[in-house]
Amino acid sequence: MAGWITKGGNGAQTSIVDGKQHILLMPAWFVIGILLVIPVLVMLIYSFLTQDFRGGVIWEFTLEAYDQFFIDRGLFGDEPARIEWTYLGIFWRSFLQALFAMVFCFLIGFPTAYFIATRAPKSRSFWLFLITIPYWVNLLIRTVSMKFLIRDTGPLNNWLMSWGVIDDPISMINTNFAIQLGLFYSYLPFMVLPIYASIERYNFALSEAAADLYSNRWTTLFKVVIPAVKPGIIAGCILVFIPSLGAFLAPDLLGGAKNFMIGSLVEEQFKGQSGDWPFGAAVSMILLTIIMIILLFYARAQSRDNNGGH
Amino acid sequence: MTDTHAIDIVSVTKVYPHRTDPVVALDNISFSIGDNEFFTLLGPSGCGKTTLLRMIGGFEDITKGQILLFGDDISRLQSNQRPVNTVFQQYALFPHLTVYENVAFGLKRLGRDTDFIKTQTHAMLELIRMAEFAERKPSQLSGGQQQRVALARALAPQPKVLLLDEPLSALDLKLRQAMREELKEIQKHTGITFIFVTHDQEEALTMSDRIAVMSNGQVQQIGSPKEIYDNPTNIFVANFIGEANILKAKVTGPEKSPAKASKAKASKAQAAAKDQVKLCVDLECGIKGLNIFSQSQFQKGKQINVMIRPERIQIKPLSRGRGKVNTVGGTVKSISYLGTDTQVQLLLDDGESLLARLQNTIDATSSFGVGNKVEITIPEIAIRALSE
Repeated sequence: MAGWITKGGNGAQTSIVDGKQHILLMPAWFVIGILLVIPVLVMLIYSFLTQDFRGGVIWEFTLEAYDQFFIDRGLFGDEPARIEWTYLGIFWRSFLQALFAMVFCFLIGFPTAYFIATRAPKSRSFWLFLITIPYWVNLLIRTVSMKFLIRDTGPLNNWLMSWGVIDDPISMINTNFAIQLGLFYSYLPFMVLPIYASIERYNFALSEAAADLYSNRWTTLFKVVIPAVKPGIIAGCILVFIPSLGAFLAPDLLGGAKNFMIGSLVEEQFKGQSGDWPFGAAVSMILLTIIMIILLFYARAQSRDNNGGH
Repeated sequence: MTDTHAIDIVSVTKVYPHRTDPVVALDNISFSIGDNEFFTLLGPSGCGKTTLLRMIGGFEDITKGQILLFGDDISRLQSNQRPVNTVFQQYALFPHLTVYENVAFGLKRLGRDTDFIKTQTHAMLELIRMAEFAERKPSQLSGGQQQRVALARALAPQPKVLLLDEPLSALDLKLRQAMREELKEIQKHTGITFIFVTHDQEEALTMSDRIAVMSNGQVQQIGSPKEIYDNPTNIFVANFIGEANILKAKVTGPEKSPAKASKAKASKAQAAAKDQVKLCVDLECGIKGLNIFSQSQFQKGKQINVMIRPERIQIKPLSRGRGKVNTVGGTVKSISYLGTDTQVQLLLDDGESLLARLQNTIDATSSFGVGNKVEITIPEIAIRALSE
């Protein structure tokens, strides 16, 4: 690298880069190509292949996996085709779980981000540091610890009982509440950080202007602050919603078999000998498609906003 | 101006607490601003002018004292409960709202009925000649346009007092000059009391009915632009407003009977400068027995500072005649051409320097050059004694 810098060293910056664009773009191509495009293509192709019963695939193209997802032909495949509700149900439940996780993360994350962004500049990094400390521990370990905290004989129930709030332990494991708790705890920083970045750039003179123009705290918040930091909020929501939709650790460990989510469904297909790789790939592709559609709608709304309307 | 006071500042103090050294931003200041007045708070940065404005707007707590709005104590009210509006320094327009929505914002929060909001907002947009920009976002406007929208937004709820926090500082010179006229006009048209904060003395002089010159958290002087320029009370005001030569002098007593020639002039000036006494002083540079105006009485024999504006000083090439009144000799140190004026730096024979400013009439300035000996006349009527 030193070679081509010295060669063009006396020229302007453009001459250094001239003709080397493809070299300089290599890291970008590597990330986009090798780490994103090729894996997705592999997944797409696998979703159209035939299942091998010991795991893996047979190279015969078929729509079997998608058929299995959407259409119910009875146990032996000889009944008239009906809509298969099992997997759509799992999708719907996952969707709701992710939506709730997103809302909870927002309700807690926004005030947190606002609090941090309004501290003195020196102490902000300290608060951000506090937020990120738990994430130095592996997600699996955190989720398992959560399970220990909320189990029937865990500290949470013990405290509640010793304070006399409850007489019998509340069974929290294997409930939607446990999943929500897990998702919330896993993804809260993804909500806090983008909102924090937006609020930090927010011009607080706007809040003063709103107060000057007869707004109370709430109208200032809803009419001025939130619209102004909307990009951060939307980024935070996307960053929480999408991984929550495909999460499998929290639902698996905290939700149990009853509360099956997309992530667990996909994981199941690639685990051990009973897996069905094409089906797992197909479920992933369907999830990916749904997410792409959501993001497209968002991008279109965004560009309409930026064009200043009429 | 009427006798009604729009704002009364009653012994207001502002202290920013700090463990080791608390900062006193405003030190027990009191004054009143009349209804319908264009009142300017003028001073260098850090003098407390913006703090005072923000206290009137409700954005800063008052450590001690009271602020009255048309006789009512508003000190404890939140800013959204005060019938005053602010034009912010960087405009602070709501970026997600259109020009129309920005201007209508205050009226909507006040819960005015829809028809009124519509007519009032349109009237404001007409007033600032921005009707055709109603649907634009602030980011699509130029600095001057944003400035006008900020003004319209603050005027729309018909505040009792309008606060303007250095509203012109972000504009370029031409635009700033045009906006001065426009602001003054709008103030007359609406009849609202304007309280204007600036560090620009020219802005203050051209726009204001009255000016309060502030420094170090204290009001140095309050008066009309002419009063402040012609009769500054102390060195700070003399130096901050325009240019001033400060000379040392010694008080020799009360006014001596004025020379016959200047008697008529003197009495005219006396009428213009009420509440002033006359002193007889000797300037340190050699001119003796001058009768000058002073706002306070001084003991005989006291060393004081006196001020003279550069444009009041007259320069002539050295001539033979002796015993001229109020004249000293000096040398031209430098000459700078300023277009309408020429600025001449003079070195008096006793070593003091003096700044003079001569108008560039057709025949002026060419009569002497750098290094020339000249005769400098300091008219006594233009000299003012300054208090400590």
